[in-house]
Amino acid sequence: MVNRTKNIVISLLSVVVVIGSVEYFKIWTKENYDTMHCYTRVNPVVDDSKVHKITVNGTISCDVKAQNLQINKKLTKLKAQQQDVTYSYCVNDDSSAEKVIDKVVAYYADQDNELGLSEYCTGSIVQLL
Amino acid sequence: MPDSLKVSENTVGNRRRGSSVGNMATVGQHGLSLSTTISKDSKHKRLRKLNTQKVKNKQDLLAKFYYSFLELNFRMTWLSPLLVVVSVLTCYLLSNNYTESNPLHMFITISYKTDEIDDNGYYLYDKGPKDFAFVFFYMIFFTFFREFVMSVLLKPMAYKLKVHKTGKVGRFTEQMYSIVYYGISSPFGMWVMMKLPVGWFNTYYFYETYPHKTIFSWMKVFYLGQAAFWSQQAVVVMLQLEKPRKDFQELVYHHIITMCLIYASYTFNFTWIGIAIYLTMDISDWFLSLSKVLNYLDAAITPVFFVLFVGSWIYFRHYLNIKILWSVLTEFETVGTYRLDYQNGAYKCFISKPIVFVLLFALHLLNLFWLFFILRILYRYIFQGVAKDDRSDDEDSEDEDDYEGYSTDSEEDSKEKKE
Repeated sequence: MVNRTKNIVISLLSVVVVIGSVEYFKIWTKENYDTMHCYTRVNPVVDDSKVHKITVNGTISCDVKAQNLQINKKLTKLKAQQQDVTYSYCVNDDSSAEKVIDKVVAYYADQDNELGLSEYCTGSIVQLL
Repeated sequence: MPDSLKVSENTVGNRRRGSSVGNMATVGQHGLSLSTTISKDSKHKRLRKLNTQKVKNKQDLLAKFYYSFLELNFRMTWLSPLLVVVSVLTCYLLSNNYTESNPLHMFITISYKTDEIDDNGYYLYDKGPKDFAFVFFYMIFFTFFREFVMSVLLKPMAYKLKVHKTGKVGRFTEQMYSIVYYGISSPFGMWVMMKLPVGWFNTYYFYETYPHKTIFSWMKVFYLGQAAFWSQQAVVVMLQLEKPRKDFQELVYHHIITMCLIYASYTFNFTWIGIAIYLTMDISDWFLSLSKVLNYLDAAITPVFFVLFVGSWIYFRHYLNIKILWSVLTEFETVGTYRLDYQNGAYKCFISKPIVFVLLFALHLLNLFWLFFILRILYRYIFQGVAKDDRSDDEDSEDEDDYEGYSTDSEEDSKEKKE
């Protein structure tokens, strides 16, 4: 009887752990699908430029919404890392771009280089708070 | 029928013990009812306690009720699961709320109804955690169903058909229960599959419209109902409610693979492949059980049905399974979307392809294992005129005393009187 109880408890716990892990994995990857499918790249627009360009690359599942999410996360992380610097940024949403992956591009610069930023922005420039 | 042509269940003298050679039993074929786990000693102790219990006060009365209820449960093992099922159903029906807002709804019927309707006019259902509640409830239902059908309906049928030997009665009721269950699940499953574009195992459609995040109502009932059935069988094995046999290890592997396939196919939206696999298993199991029952009854048409069973086994468990395996190798990647998309629940990609193949191939290997022994029996029967079922874990070798739950009432009464 003890063996049976032990068997059922261990089996039940194993099943709960496995199913729980799989379901958690599914939910987490669904909610953070942008993290799973996309990755960002930050480069200066030209060499030695103070204006930086954020592009998003990834699989075909990295859609426009995922790209926007990634860019927001990148900018948030930037602000958190350098809190004493005030940044401005803009996000260009180019619907006419051929590849989905090129549809969303962001530019950012510190406050001193905001003028240079305006050359690349098609939309409004926002201060990163 | 000449004795030499009868499929004998006698053990072969030089049979290797410790292997599962020749055991044709598939999942669900082994178990007797829950009552077979009762030992004679514990039964006599219970009866003695019940008979000698004197009622002096309320506590004694409660104790007497308790022991009476326990005794009733031991004699009618289907009683407790029935009480649970009836209670839940009654509460649900009396609540007058048959929507998903009723907390009992997720146990009784399927959840996550969407507004979409398929081409046949059935509502489509999504998947979620409440499906586990449905499976859990119907595991209890199947516990009741199995016990009730085997002890109340099939055991008397066995005696009427002149199957008297206790061990044989047990095996007869097991196989008859399988005939009943697979006799319902197979046509139901076929009907469901024919409602899909898949039709009769057209593997192209497994992948064309993948992912199948939503499925129509009856398909969900079938899928989760089967999950409940197999989960209940798995619990029986885990609790060792049936006497472990020599192929217990293979049985455990079979259960593990089956449960992995059921869960993985459901949660990762491969249900259209899953239903095809279900059918290949169930239909051939029905023929297997029928063949066994006819053998127990020493029917003249046993050889005919044995050949029919072999044919069905080869067609469903090998030809169709190989066809499905081949489709995983060829069409899985080329037909439909082939990319990982977490947001849309599309998992048909380079990661899942080998996993699907390995799981299905493992199942096929188990089937090949059993096919070898089936063909050996057939060969000996046709070319040597010998029909011996040389299963190493022979059902005949078990003592009659092991199957207390299947002794006749008159035998029980006489034994009790002697005491």
